[in-house]
Amino acid sequence: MKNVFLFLMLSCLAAFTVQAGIADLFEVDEQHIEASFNDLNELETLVTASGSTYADLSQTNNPVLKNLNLNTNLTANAFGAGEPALGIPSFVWGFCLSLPGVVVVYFLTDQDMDETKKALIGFAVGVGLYVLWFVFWRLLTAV
Amino acid sequence: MKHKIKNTKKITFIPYWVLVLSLLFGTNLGVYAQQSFRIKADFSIKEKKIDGTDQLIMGTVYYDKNTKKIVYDVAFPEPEVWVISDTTLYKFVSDSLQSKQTVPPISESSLFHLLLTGELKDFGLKKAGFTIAEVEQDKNLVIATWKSPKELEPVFGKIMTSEKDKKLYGIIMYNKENQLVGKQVFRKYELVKGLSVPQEVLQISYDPKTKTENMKLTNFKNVVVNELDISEMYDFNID
Repeated sequence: MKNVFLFLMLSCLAAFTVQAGIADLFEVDEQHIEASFNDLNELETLVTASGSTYADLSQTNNPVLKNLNLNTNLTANAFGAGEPALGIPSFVWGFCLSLPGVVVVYFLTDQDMDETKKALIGFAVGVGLYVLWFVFWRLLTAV
Repeated sequence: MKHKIKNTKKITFIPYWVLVLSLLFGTNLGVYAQQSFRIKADFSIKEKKIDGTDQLIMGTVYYDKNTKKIVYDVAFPEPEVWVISDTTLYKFVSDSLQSKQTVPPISESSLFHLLLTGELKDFGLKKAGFTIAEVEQDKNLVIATWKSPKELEPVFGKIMTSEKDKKLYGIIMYNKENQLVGKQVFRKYELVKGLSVPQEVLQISYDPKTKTENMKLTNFKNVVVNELDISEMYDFNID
């Protein structure tokens, strides 16, 4: 009886612990974020107040820039638009959609040949598996 | 037989009024759904990249859910206009087109589109074919675990979203190996013309192999909904 009670207590405790952890997954380390963005926040305040561009600030050797390793070349990634085609790996495009998938990757990645090759490999693997399955099925039905 | 005819008359009479009422209510609902169609905001994107570099972009963003063009009028680092329209990203400097490249069609899954269509609550996952596998409540969050559609199963692991005060609070994404790969937090909501707009979006991407992280903090201020002036910015001329 004692053991059953202990087991129930431990089960409840374990359930409570797991449950309590779910919301914690969404928590972020505020101090770490604050510290990480400190210099960029300072630069943002400066730009908001002065309306300066990067060229203006670099000409005056502004000390805020010295603490930063600023990358001023904007790319599609900066606007959330530079991911692989729809965020789906090229291999999967080729594997699941065969040739149309390869074409989608070719055009959506701006004719990136590395990504297109991955899609082609996916396509080849998909076709290979289909052929193997077809042969296996024919052999099975022939018996 | 007579009785049957009487009934039929009655039945045809009632749907007429039902039809009139539903048309009236339907029209009203349609008007409400169409209420928010444009959004403009001053933005700043701060990023701490995995390669150790920092980035700051500031300017004004315009979006109209009818034209589906995201227009970033960038003021810092240098004045440029970036337009995402369908699967093309255009870059303009001093009103002349500098470059264009093919990108995924992100407009309809963007924060701006989800906000204006009322789909931000589930981050558009339902529309993308994801289904809720489990809903739990913990502390002040309502947490949903999402199951990906069959065709995307090889790509996505578990996805969890959380709501706080009936507004999207966070998204967590795992890879197939159940490793955390991304976290997004939406906070500091502001009510603008009936639209709850998060003024801060924190996005953290994790690389499980190198144990490094990329942090992106986007802030919005001076949010304007349904602006009717300066229409040319919402439908930026890309020809």
